[in-house]
Amino acid sequence: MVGKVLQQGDLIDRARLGDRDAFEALVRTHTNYVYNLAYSLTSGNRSETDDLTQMTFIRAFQAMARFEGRSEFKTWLHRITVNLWKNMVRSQKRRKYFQHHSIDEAPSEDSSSRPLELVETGLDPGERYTHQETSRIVREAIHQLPSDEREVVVLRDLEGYAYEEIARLCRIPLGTVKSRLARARRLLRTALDPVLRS
Amino acid sequence: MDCRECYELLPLYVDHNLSASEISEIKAHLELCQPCSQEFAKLEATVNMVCGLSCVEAPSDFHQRFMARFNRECKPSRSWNMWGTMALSTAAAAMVLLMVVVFYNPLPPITVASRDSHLAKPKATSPTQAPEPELAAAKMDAQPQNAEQAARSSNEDSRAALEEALSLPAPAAPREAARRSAGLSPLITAVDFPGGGALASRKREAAPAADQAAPLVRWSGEWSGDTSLVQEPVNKVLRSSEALQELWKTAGLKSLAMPEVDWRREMIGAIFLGQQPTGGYEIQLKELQRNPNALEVKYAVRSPQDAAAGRPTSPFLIFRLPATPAPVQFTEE
Repeated sequence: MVGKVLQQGDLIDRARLGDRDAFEALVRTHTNYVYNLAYSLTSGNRSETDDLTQMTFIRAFQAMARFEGRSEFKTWLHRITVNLWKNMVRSQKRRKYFQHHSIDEAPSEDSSSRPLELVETGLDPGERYTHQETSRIVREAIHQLPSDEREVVVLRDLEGYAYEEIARLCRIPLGTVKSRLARARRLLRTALDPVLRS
Repeated sequence: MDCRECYELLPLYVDHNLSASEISEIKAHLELCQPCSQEFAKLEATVNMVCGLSCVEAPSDFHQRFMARFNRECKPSRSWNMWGTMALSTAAAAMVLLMVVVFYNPLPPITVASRDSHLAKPKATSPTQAPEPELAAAKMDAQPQNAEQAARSSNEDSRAALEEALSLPAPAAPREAARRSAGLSPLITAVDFPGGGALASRKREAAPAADQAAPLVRWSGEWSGDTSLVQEPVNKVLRSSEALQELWKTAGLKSLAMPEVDWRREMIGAIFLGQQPTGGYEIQLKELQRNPNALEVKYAVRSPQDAAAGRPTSPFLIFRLPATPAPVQFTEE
């Protein structure tokens, strides 16, 4: 096992040479980051989040030798996640497969398989329920967005990237980022109108 | 600013990602216009709800499940040992170099000299005539042209025809590259031919990706074997069914099913190594490359590891090419 004294740069160098222990250490460091992104992109679908996160790291390992360090490792993982997610969406569209996620949500799994949602402490059970229900509705509204708009709104409003960074990550012009974000926010505002009224 | 303009810009006004003048205009408009002001409030609340979504942590068993999948899908080729691997690689490279120095011995022509003695020989480049070569029954007379003749024959028309003929679907390079990156070899399917002995058919999905500037084209449907009547090295390009039938007859390939060829789009390439002292030779197509004046066929010949084993053979490789009137140049790598 690789000791903790190794810096990320050393781990990346070793992983690029095929060192599986070094790569595992990198996975541990970045799991929650990738998992969160995948969770947002798949709008909280557990099985898809799991699959997307795992596939991201597997693809990363397979492509490690080509990682040249021009961007941050985290950014590189981000790009892999988004690209895989886009492929996933395209594949689902082809198979008209959109509805299966609701089946996956059947609460029969072991609690260790469920993501741990980090909610504010100090909420009473009623407030906690309201918070979770609101989160579910918002995630569902994000899930209903077209994939291009969903990608941009996740990067901006959930991940906090600047417009210019989004343009670079998604390889689209800055103007397209703005138009997609504006459209996404308008669609969300319409979808969440009942919640806003209440 | 009117309400329509304001409505368009409000989603980006939420995080003030507009020019200073736009921001001040919207601000002034919102102070005067209640509907726009209410719309802005809802947009702002929407964005706050999205921004307020909680972070999640991966399930506690995620890493365990990932590692199981990782070990299943990314199997190590051998246990990791950096220095061991480097030492092994160095030793292997030294061994290969030693073998090349000790065993390299270009084979002399085996059969009687013919007027085609400048045809493809091991470690040589041989431009083959663009028009249909005539076959002589006994010795595979290819009526070749030399490079100068080939160059003369490739006029502007043939160049244009080459461009047209080679406008086939792009090779599935990404897929092949992905297979390569995953450490997989090109797809190979062994096929038993009735009475064909060691014959095998290999099918590749596409030519492998390469970094050359010249465009690559693809080949398909390879037929290979180690028994033919061709006793001297020769490369051939066939552009008609008559020529193909003649080849099948003269090369003694009757046991091998003759391919059906759409001659408007395809032609046949053939590489014969001539008589070799042992079995175990393998001809591998490496690349088809569209050069300005010719279609270049790059191939490699793998020599047997056990040089003393087996009986004499005459290996060959036959494959489909995109039809072109331009010369075809065979290059052994």
